[in-house]
Amino acid sequence: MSETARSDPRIHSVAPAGEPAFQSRIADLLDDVTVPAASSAEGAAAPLPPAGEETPLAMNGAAGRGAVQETAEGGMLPGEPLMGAGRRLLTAAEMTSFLPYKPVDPPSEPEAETPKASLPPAGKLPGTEQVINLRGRSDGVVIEVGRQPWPEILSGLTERLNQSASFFYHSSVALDTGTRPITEGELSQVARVLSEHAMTLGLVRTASERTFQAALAIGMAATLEAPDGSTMAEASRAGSNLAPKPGEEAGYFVFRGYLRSGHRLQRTEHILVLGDINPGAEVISDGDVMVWGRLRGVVHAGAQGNRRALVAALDLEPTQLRIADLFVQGADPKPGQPGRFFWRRSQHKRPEIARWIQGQIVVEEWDVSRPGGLTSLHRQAGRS
Amino acid sequence: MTGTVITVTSGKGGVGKTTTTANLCATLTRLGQRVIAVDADIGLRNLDLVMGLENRILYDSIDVAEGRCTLQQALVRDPRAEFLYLLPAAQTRDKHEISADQLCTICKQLVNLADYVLIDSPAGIEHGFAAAIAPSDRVLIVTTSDVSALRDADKVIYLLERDWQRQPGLVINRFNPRLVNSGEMRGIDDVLDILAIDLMGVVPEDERLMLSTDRGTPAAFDQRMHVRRAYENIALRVMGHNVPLTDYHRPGLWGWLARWFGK
Repeated sequence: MSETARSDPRIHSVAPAGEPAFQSRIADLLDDVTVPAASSAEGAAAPLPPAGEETPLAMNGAAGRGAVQETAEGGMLPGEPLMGAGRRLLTAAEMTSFLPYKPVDPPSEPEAETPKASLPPAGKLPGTEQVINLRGRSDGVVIEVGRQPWPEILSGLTERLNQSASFFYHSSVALDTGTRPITEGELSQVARVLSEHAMTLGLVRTASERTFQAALAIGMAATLEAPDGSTMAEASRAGSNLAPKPGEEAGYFVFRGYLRSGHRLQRTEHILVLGDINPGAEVISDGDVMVWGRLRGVVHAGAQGNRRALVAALDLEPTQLRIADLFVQGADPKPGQPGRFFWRRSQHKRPEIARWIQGQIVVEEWDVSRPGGLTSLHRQAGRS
Repeated sequence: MTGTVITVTSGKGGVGKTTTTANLCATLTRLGQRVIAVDADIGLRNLDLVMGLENRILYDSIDVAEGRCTLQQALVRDPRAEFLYLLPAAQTRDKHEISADQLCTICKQLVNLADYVLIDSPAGIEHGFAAAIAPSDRVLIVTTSDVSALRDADKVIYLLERDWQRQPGLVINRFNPRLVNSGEMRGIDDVLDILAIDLMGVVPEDERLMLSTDRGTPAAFDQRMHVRRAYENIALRVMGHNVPLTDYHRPGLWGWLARWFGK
């Protein structure tokens, strides 16, 4: 299907077309090989056992796409009933034609939409069968991790690599962790096991935000995938603390939902939180932090020293607020008043913006009566 | 027909997980449900004490998991109720000795016997917590309205959403309307403001509740306990009924009369 050409020369070079014995050995080592059509026909003498698994998936994918096209065309039929006076509902096919971007399907859509039929849906990782799956893909070898306890995964990986390490000698592999959340420590354990076998962990593919953060924290390249297989975020740069020009040109990372106690969100991009940041949570960005909600945790904007970073929130009551190299504590409770972290919903609270101005963090309320709402913003903009 | 597994957890210790579990079990069985309570707090078992069943225990959940007895042998029947059984924890063993898989296997058998299986989770967020959450269909979080309990509950909700994809319900325990009315303690709205999950019920503070747990008689079996009503409301909400929230902010009949006569 989409795996027509093998871009990775490693697997190809050890399995030249004329040597079926070699091919069968690779097939033994990998649980699932996505082989181009030509070479699988040649390997018919030494059949690849898992190749059969691949076909029904691919068939489903093709059939599913066909069905989608049919319905889309059905909407475009000339006999389409009109809505009202010359107005009619747009069909999906028409919508896509003038949208500048590819519309994202909701996660409940059937899997058939994704072109990568060989990629299993992230939520349905093989949890029951195998601890470790080694899969040959067009872009190299992928290690898939099951749902078993971590020590089992590690020992399973070590075992598999002991059997077959010479094949992957000095190669870079990807780790697909699915929805399973993995900590920094666990990731570095995998990296260590791989390096013992002279391999490197080139990429962490995950559908879990937690794993993505862990990979970032220890400076690994990682991709965060949505449940439908599309990539939501990418961190190709190893060593995120070496940002070339922090914050300025970076995009936005949007977090929807609550950041609860113990949750740490660290990004090189600006962060936009649609929800509350509870006390005990930390938000760290190389750029700005904007919160459409209450900010009560610890926030650090411009973490790489960008003093032009700002923190804005509808309700700015942080435990601690840091911008670049400065920090301010949240207000201490007055004697006789109820203790800290005693939030009553304040009725007349205005949105506030905190900025670094002449060696101080200045917090300003949004003021409707001022032109533009904030004066310091204009001052800052005029100076720079 | 299979039952529902509900894990009662909190993060912080001492907020009333065990008391809530015992009373909820007793109330559910009074409402005609078949209930089995499972104590997952291995090594620090309390549920049997609060339910007053300690002297009937022969086997425990680790004996079941390791195959020394059958599940039916380990279940302890509560003589005060129609269908209320307890699967006790081992006092002499350690939390690490029961795995999530073993507890899942046990619960899979239990849901065939009962309508509701309530698991009393240990405090903390380590191995024992994970084992108690793993078999659950629903999770109830018990919290009081003080800062440390709220912070821990918040962390537990975060863990549940992150690692287990569960949307928990909240039980606010030891709610003190007097302190809230005087503005010195967080009210229900303030708690929900922080935790932002579904409220399953509020249990007002009651000294006699402490006595009833001490004596091993869940409040649901005691006609004189007013706090029984609070548990009844929670149980009804667990069963899917829509029960309006009791308004503790009003002074109540006696407070109203006192104010009236005091004038």
